[in-house]
Amino acid sequence: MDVDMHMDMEAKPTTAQSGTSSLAHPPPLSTISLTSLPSEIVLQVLSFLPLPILLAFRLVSTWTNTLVLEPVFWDRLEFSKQLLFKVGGGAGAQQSQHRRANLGLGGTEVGAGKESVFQHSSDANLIVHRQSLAATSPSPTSSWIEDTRAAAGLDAGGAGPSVTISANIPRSIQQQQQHQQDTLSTSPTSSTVIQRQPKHSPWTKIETSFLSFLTRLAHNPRTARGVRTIVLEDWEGAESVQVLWTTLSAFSKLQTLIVRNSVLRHLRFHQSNDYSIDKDDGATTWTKLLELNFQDCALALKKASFIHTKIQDEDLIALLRRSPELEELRLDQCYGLTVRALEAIAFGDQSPASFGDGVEGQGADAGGVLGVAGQAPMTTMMDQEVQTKGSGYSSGVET
Amino acid sequence: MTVILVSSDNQDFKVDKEVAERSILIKNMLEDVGESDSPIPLPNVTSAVLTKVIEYCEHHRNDPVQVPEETDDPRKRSNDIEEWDMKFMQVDQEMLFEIILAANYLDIKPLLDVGCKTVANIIKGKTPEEIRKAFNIVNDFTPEEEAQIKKENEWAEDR
Repeated sequence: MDVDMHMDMEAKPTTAQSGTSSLAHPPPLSTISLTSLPSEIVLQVLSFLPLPILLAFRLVSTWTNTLVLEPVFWDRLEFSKQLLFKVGGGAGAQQSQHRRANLGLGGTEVGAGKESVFQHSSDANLIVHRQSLAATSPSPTSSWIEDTRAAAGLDAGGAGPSVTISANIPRSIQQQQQHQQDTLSTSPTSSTVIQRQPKHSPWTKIETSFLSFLTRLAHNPRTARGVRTIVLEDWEGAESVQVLWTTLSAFSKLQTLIVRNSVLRHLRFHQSNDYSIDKDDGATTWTKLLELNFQDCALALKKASFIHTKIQDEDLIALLRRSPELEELRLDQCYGLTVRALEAIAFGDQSPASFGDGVEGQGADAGGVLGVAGQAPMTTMMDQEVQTKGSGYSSGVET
Repeated sequence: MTVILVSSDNQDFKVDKEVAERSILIKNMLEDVGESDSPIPLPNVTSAVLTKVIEYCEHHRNDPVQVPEETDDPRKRSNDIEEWDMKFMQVDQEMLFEIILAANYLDIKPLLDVGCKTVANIIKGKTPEEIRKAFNIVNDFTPEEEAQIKKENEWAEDR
């Protein structure tokens, strides 16, 4: 991210960005002109302009800039490579399509079922707390456990992890994973290799531009309140994403937030019935949020806590698939989870099919999405800590 | 049945009721006063503009009532103007704005749409400087403000 991003955010309102609540325009000339038309008519004219031209119209004068920043144009904000780069043209579009193919949208593609539910690239522990649930749950059949253990690469009857207390990630899985990663990194012709962007790629610059624009809208409270839907795709800037979250919090009436195939960090959901974003000066809450979707995003979660929440198997599976850095997972009193799911997680199960009927049936579609829609939001707290590695979306989902 | 419309410069225009009722304003007025031969004053519309407006309403007298439609594309299209309408709108800029103002006042939405699309088409394909010239707008940005806006616009530029 450019160094001057914070300066931009802190900048005092300029003539161009001030006074958006007033549509006063220059005094009319002697004859009727565009500037002498009522604002509502000019806004209607502008509604016929495609986005790039609408934004370019800002550059005509402070009056046009004020008009373009009116809430009427910004109910929905969409940012993605596919939107900005023409199909088939530009490295961005190709990379986006390439990555999309790799990630297996919707979880219905061939190979999606072979994605590891929980892939780990470190020596971290997986801790599963399920005291209350354990006391009330029936024991699984031994054959199912054996199947699961076999799928996870454990020898039947071996010294596997204990599901009820804690589980070290078995070294066999680590080795298997390391082998896979080595294979990928040494195979330039492999279809699963993702070309990493240089740190300051043009795309990062475009992200910074979008962030500046978001900041501009965020500085205009009336416009910020008018934004209902934000769709972000292919966000790569690991440094800028914290600013992004902070900026997004200004859109207090947001109803839908969709973040696809992006680096996610510094995201925090407070343990309440509302989704919110952590800010230095306290949490800002999206009280109107109805849909939250992190499709194809690699979450750089170190710790995830779902204590006393209603998280379901498929949501948890989707989360784990995208959390290659996860070190601790707390699931106390999560009565929405099935025993099979808990056990499969603890055993490092490799196949979502092993989660049983309830998971497989819904998970095929939902498994690709950590999405919660409707009136009963999952109450979670997820802390993301800064990764020491590069962008995380490649490591947790490619097999 | 005909009605008489009186322009701001006191010219009378005798038009079919069906044509006059393309204007929602006139339609409502006629409904309010009932059967009457009284002329309808239109103090905000000059005879030159009213002539054009009536010409438009005559041509579109049989058009179905426009229903606002929800489209997937939030941004409306300005390139779907009928050929006749396009020719009809080939007037000087002042007349174009006068027609738009009249359509707004008389509540003739299709005419207002065509007028706004025509202005949008004038804007399209022009640089900010050309737009300033076309519409006589003064650039009152500081260089810093202009640079900042350019930076903010980069993400949506055509590629």
